[in-house]
Amino acid sequence: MTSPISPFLGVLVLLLVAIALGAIILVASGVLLPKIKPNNPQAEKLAPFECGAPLQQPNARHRYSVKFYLTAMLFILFDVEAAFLLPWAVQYKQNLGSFWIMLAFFATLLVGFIYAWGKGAFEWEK
Amino acid sequence: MNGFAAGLWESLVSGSKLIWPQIFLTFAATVMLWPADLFVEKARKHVWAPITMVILALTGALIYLTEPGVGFSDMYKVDGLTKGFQALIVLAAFLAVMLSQKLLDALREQTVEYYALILFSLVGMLTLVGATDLMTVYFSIELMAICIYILVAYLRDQNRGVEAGLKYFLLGAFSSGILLYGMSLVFAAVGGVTTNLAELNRLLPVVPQSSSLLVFSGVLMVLVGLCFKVAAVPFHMWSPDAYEGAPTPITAFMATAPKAAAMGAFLRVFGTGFAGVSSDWMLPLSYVAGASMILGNIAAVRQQTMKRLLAYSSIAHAGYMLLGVLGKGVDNAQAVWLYLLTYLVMNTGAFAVVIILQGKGEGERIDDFRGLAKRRPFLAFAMMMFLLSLAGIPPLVGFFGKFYLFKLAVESGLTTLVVIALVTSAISAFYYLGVVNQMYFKEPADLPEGAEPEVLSTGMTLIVGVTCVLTLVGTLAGPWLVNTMFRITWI
Repeated sequence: MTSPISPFLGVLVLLLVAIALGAIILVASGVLLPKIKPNNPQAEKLAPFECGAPLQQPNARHRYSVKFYLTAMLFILFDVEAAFLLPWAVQYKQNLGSFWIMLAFFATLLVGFIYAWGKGAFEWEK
Repeated sequence: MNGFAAGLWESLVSGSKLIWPQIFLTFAATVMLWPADLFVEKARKHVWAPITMVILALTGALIYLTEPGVGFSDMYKVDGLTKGFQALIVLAAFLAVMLSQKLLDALREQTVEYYALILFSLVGMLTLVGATDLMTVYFSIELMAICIYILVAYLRDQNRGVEAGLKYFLLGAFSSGILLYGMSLVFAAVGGVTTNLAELNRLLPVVPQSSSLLVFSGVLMVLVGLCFKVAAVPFHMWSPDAYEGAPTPITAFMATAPKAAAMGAFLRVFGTGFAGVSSDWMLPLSYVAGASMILGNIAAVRQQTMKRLLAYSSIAHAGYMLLGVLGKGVDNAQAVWLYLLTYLVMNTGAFAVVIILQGKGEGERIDDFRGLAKRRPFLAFAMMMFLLSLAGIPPLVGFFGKFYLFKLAVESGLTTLVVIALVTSAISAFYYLGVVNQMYFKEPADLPEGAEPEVLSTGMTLIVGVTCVLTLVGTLAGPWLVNTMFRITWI
C-alpha cells in the first residue's frame, strides 16, 4: 500500500463503524423494542418529549432576542482567536521573536474589539 | 529574534512591497470604522462616499506603482495579470461607490460599514488575482465573499434583502467547503508536499496511476468552487436572487468586481496550476461554459425585472468568459481581461440607468421602461447603447471584446462552443431589444405627479454619460486597448 490515501484507512473504518452503529440502533429500536416493551399506552407516554417543544409549558415557546446571537457570534470570534494562542504558547520558548508577531496579531484583534464595544455590541439593555 | 521568527519577519518585510495596495486599504478601512467614524454625526455619514473614492484612487495609484515580483514564499505574485485585474477591480469598486452615494441617501441607509466592507472585500479580491498558491486563493476568496454576503443583506429591513443574503451565504459557504475539499485532495494527490501552483503544475502530471482519481476529483471540486464564484451554470442558482435582493449599486459591484477577481483566479489556477492535467477539466468546463451561455440567455428572455434580466445576462457573459479559460494561453487571458473591461463599462452604465429610474428601491420592472424615450430621451438612448453593446452589436465596445475572445477561442479549437456562443448571442439580442422596444415603441405609463426618481445627481449623470460615450467610441481606442492588453501576462 503506497497510495497516498492509505493513511486514511482508519477514517474509512471509522466511517463504516459509524454507519453500522446508526443502522443497528435504528433497526434495534424498530424491531426489538416492540417485542420487549410492556404494552401500556397512555396519553402522557405517547406525547413527544425533549424535542424542543415543551408541551407541558406552552408559554416557553417565545422568540429569543437577537442579542443572544450577537453575543454568541462575538464569543465564537474571540474564542477562535484565543484558541490560536495555544499552539503559539507551546512553541513560544523556541521563538522568542514571535512575541512581536503575536502582539501585532492582538493589536489587530483589539481594533475589532474596540469597534464592537463602540457599536454597543456588549450592552445588554438599549 | 531567531530562526523561524526572523525568517517570517524577513519574508514579511521583503514581501510587503508587493501588497502595499492591500495594506493601505486594510489600514484605511480600519481607521474609517474606528476611530474616524466617531467624529461623523449620524446625519453626515454620506461624507464617507467621497472619502472612499479618494482611498480607491490612491489604491489605484499604488497598484500602478507596484513593481512586479514574487513574495511570501511564492504564495503571492505581482505580474501583468495581477496588475491588470487589480485595476479592473478597483475601477469597478470606484464606480459602485459613486453609484451608491445618492441611493443610500434616498434610502437613509448611509453607514460607514457599507463603504468599509467594500474596501475589505477589495482587499480579498486584490489578493485573489495575485494568488499563486491554493491557500492564498482560498483565504482571499473567503475574505471577498464574507464581505459581500453582508453587503447583499445590507437592506436588512427588506425581506428580499435578507432572503438574498441568507441564500447567498448558505450556498457560498457550501461551495467554499467543496473548494477547500478539492484543494485538500489535490494536496494529497501530490503527496502532501505543496499547494503552490507552479509546483503543482510540475507534480500533477506525473502522479502515480493509483492517485489519478484523487487528482481528477480534486481538480473537479476546485472547478466547482470557482464556477460558483463566477456564477456559471449549474452553480448559478444563487445569483438572480442575490442580484435582485441586494442594493442595486452592490448588484453592479457584484456583477463586475468579484467576477473579475474570480476570473483572474480561474485563469491563474487553471492556466498555470492545472494546465498539465487539462484533460481532466477541459470537458467538464466546456459543458459548464456551454450550459451557462444557453441557460443564461434563454432564462433571461422570460424575466420581468431588469435586475434579474441583467443577472441572467451576467451568467451568460460568465459562460463567454470561460471560453478564455478553456483556451489556456496567455493571449486568451488577455482577451478575458479586455472582455471584462468592456463588460464593466456597459454593465455599470446599465445599472446606473436602473438606479436612476428605480428611485427609492421601487419600480425596477421592465414595464417601467415603457416610453422612456419620450420622458427621458438621453437616458433611453444611453440604455439602448448599453443593451446593444451587451448583445455585442458592432461597432460598440461589447462587440470588440466579444470578437477578440471568440476569435482566440476558434484558434484554440473550441469551434463547437463558439458556435453555441454566437447562436446564444443572437438569442440575447432578442431580450435586450425587448427592453429597447419598451423604451421606444410603447406609450409611457401614467406616472402620478411627483413620482419622478430622486436618485439623480451630477455623479450619476457623469457615470451614465461617460460610460455611454465609452460604449459608443471605445472601439476607436482599440489599438491602445490591445496594447494595454498585451501587458497582461503571468510569466
